[in-house]
Amino acid sequence: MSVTSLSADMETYSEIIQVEEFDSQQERELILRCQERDTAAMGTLVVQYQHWVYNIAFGMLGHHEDAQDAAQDAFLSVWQNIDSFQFRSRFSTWLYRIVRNKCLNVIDQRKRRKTDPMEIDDSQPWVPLDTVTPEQEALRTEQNEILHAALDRLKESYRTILILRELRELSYEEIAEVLNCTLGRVKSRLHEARKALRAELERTDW
Amino acid sequence: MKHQRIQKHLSAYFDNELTSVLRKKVEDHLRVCQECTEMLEDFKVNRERIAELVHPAPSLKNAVLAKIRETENAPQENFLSTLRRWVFRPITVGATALSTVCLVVALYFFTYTPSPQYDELIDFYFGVHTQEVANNPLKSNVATPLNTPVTDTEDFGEETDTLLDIFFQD
Repeated sequence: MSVTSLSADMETYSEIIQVEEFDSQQERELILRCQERDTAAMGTLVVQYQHWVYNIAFGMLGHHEDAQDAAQDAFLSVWQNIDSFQFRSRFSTWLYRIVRNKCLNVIDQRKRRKTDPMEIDDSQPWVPLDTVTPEQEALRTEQNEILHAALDRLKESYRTILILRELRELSYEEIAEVLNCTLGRVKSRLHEARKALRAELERTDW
Repeated sequence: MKHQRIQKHLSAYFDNELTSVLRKKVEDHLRVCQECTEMLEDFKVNRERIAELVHPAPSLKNAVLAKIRETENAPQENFLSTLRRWVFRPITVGATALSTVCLVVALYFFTYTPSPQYDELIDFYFGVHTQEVANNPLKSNVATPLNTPVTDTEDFGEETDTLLDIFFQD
């Protein structure tokens, strides 16, 4: 990764974290404009959600380019199906459901191609949220790689629920909506997923 | 409540998703159970680690808008092109071929009528000639030849005829 692209990424990141969360009314107006085929409104929605959409996809796929493609496809699907969104659920949960389906498609394609799912692409730098020494950064990167590999060895349903809860911090109700299952199922699956991740990390002397 | 049952609620306890009654039970259990306490601690550490897995997302806006423009500008599919695309899918071609073969086989079986040559061939194999059997009643119990004309009158024997005569006279 060159210094130029790293700084470009950092600029993008600072741009993204400066994006203020929309309130529900602003979001509703944007969606309504998208339903009237306003591409500028769609661009704003993309900027608003690209960070989490990309990170959920990366968490599920563990590969930068695949995550980027899945995120782009998800936004394209949103544009193509925005008319079917009737404000019965939160837009974010509807969007994350689309992202999950796109990621499942990529996983299916990988299975058909029989590519190695353990191949983690870490070409993207971790975000240094605070000032760290190079040693600390190296240690963090190594730990993140171990964690990513452990996540990748989990069942897809466990990986997805962990990403949605621990990374995106969705509530149980929102997770149930994204995964289209009951609250009880979310509770039990999340517990099993956490236990499975703990076992995987213990196996690798985390 | 037993250890295993309490442990199932540990994750929901960690996420503050339990009722006050259950929460109290879990807390009481945690005071005496080292295994569950360690598990809870690991859940916390793993959450913090996963939360750190945040990558700077690339800017997707331009790429997405370009894809949208591409799809919007793409020529709209008309009915014929959609039909052509569906018809020439491998699964459609395969299914059509299979259905055609099934239809031909079914038609063959349902509309088949044996030809006279076929009858002769069958008679030949069974050693019975239609004409020979028709002319020689002694051989009629050997096999019933094909295409034997059905006679309206049947001979029930002298005794039956006599009984029938008596019946009709009365």
